[in-house]
Amino acid sequence: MELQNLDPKKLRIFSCERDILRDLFTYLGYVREHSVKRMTRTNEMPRADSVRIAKLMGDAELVKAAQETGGTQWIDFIDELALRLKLVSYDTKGEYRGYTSSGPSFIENYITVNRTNFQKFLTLSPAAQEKQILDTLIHAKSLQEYGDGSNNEFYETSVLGELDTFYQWGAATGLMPTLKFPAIRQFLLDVLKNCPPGQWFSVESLIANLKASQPYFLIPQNTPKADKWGHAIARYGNFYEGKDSWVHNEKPIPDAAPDGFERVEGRYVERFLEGIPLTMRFVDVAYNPASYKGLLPMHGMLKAFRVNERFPRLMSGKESQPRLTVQPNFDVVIESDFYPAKIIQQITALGEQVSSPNSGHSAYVGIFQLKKTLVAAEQIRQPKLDVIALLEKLSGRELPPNVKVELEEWSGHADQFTLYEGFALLESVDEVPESDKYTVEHIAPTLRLVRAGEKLFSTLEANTCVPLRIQHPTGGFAPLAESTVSLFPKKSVEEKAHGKPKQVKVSRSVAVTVKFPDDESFDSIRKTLAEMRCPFQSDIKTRVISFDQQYQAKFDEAVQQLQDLFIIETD
Amino acid sequence: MSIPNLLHNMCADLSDADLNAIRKARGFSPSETASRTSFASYFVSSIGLAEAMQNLSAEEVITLHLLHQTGEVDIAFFERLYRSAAQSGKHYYGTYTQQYKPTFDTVKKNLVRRGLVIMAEVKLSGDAVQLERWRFALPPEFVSYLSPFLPTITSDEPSEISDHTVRKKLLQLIGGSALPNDRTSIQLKDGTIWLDDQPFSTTRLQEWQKRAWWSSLNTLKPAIPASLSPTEAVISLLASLAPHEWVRPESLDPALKIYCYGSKFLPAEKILHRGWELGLFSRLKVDSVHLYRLAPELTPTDSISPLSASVSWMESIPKTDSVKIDLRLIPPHHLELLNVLTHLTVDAVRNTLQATPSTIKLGRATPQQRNSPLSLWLAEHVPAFGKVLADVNEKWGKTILHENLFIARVRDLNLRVQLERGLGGNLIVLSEHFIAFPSESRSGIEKVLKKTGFVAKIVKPS
Repeated sequence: MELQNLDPKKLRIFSCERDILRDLFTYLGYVREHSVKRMTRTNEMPRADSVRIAKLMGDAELVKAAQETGGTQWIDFIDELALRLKLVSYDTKGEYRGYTSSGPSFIENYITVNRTNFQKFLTLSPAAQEKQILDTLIHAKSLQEYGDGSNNEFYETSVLGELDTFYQWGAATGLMPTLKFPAIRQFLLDVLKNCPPGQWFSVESLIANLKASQPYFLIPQNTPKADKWGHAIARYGNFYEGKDSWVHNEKPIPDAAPDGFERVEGRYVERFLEGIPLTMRFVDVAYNPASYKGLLPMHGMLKAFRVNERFPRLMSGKESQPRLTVQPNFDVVIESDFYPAKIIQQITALGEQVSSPNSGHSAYVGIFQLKKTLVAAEQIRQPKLDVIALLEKLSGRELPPNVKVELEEWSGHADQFTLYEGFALLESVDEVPESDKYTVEHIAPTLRLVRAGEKLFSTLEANTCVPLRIQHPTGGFAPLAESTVSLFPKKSVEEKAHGKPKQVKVSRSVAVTVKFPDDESFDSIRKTLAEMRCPFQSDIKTRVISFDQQYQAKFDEAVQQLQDLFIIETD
Repeated sequence: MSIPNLLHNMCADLSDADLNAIRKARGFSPSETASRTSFASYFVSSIGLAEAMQNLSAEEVITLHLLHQTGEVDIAFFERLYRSAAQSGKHYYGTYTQQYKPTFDTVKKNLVRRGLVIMAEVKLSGDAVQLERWRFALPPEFVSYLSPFLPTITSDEPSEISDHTVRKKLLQLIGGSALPNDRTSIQLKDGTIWLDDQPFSTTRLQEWQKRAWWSSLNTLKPAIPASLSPTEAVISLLASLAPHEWVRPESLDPALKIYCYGSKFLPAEKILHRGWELGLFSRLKVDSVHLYRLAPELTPTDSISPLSASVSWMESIPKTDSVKIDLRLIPPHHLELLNVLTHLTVDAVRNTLQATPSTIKLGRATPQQRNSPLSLWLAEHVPAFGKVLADVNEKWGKTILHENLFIARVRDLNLRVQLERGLGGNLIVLSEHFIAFPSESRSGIEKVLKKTGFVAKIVKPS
């Protein structure tokens, strides 16, 4: 197929900035950690969750859209994709709550992650994950009952698309239900596969080529003569054109129209390009920047497309492994043709992301920095984890020596502080064999860390050990009686501390207060002091001015300045 | 809003006319009222207070006492003193302002402008009218200047205390009949006396006495804010008496009218008589009139003096290692102590209460309780008790179970030093590698860990 090149300089270029795989994992990560209940009436994601997911996806525009409208098309698309991939599940049918309900309600409709499917999906290679997404989108069926007829590019605008759709009237009748869209999409993807990447091609030439070589790729040559109700089927009977989408004065496109292929199949090709290929960043598209003036739905506005490198890379079937490099400055650089979720999950447990990942059309590049606390925390979470061995295995080479030494030390940090929560401390001068089976650690000859404190206390009481049970307050240690033998503070120490006078340090300053006999001199000196930016306080009623002694010089200066008006003498 | 804040607001917002009125009433000099900030300090001083208080009527004094007990109030509080536009016992159909404007004017004139009561406006949500927003309070510094309002009689004569009802209640333990209309249970369970499902104590017994007294009077809880029930009011009024001071019942009536404003109650004579029957009051007959005051505390101050060899209410039973308790005579505070120190049982044959030594109970008792005169008496007269007490005294305080603490193992010496510095007195070093700290210090620990690059490994009981 020979396509015409087109210079997109005068066109408006659009490319998808989102990485579908990365956003899918961001969404899954969020719904795994949070209990997300969908809205009862609309079954949409709640606004708060949408905003949080948008923030995690790191797109300011998404966040703004989620905050303003309560959700975004992109997050809804990812949400639906996760459901189609069977990675999550939630109710999509709902129930009618009463005879007067105008729609179904979705009560307590929580999003749950299907852990088995998720783990299975996670273990796939990034390319295989992308392929599974592609396959799912190609074969996507409507989630609405009776919506199959209109669940295609003719009637639904793509999540990133801007071209309008055909009038839906009669979509479940005529030729439409007989069309095999998965095969059509696959065919067009195969056509794109043969386009050299990086070059802009004219969409018009693609349509013309298809008309010449594959005129029946969408609608078979021999269409059924009648539908299941016995009504005659016209080849283009489902497709209407009109001047105004509000008035619905559309007319069907005649089968015999010489430009019928361009008007029906051509419009489909345009809408297909801004569907799966654009969403999955297989292509970039370029639109005519001028406003549309022809018959609706729009035709000829999508002028050009360009196939990106990642598309032939994915379709070639060659699996390339993500590349990981550990640098001497503790940076871990991950490069991959597709978003390497599993490796990222492993590395984010050990380090922090320091660069925003590349979301363009080229390979994924992410830089992480290994962090001492994270390595130690992961070591605590997985005591058998060998961080050095893991990084060497992922990178396929030995780690820089300094990194190795530090990692060994950091892993050692995991065991430096162990907090025992919910245990009790048994302090006993004598041997207490009764406590042996409750002992977790022998801290010192007289101290044991014990569990089941209440049970142990009863046992000790029953064995006439005369135990003392101390419930320490949350903010300090309970003072013990004088006659106790203990490391803990006694009452006398507390009393001494309380009996001692509390030390209070005060700062001393001397203020000078000057009282003026009349309003005139008082106002003048106030204004002069204010001009000189001298801090002072004044009381209009008593005509008193007070200032700190350190500003005496400034006050004297003010008096000096007013000597032509007043001779101020201090008593 | 706190009283100092109310005072601050009042001094800031007071009109010059009101300020001048207060200055005249309290005798402040112009320099003392010159600054609004420093005036707040002069206002709560003793300057001119005694003189200003002299002109108060008896009802005003009583109301100010109640105001002190209540704290911050709105204008409706003073209806008990100055009335309002509403007629007593009838529903008032006017607005809040119409109802309380006369009261407000009188309060301002008689109390605020005399420099005795603080008045300030507070912010309220909703559609509260201005009169609803005024709050009044008596500075606590003024209370000692309020004159006593109960006419008292001083006497050292021996008084009469009725413990008949209390004894009847205690005798229920050994099969005595229940008191009429008394639903509070008293029972012996696992060697301990339980009153109203709590271990027996004099405090709980007093609570029961007060409850029984209140229910015997058939009164309802007052519906008006700041008003007290007759029982609460009588206890509060009699608590203000000095030792050896007594009151005639009828002298309580004016105060009860103000304290219990809005509720119906019996004459003070009847209220006091019922309370006396329940053992809450002492009674003294002078000139064929009964005078009353609060009964002495159930735990007397001389409870630390040794017991004599022969005690009328307790008798050791030879060969049984136990003592027999006479519930008709035992002082309640000794019964409370026996409940803490010994294992109590009922001898069904003899219908008596018996106490035997209990290592567990003695172990749980405080050193003061173990060394109390009663405990020492038991040790001296009941050999088994003496043996158990000696054993407990020997072992007590040597085995301690500390709970509600965090214990941590710190292997890094540098980290331990940092933690010790960070937590100071809220950390105890248990051994070379272990520390203990209170639960609130956990955030401080985490801060140090974060700063030093360490991570906590958490261990929980499996």
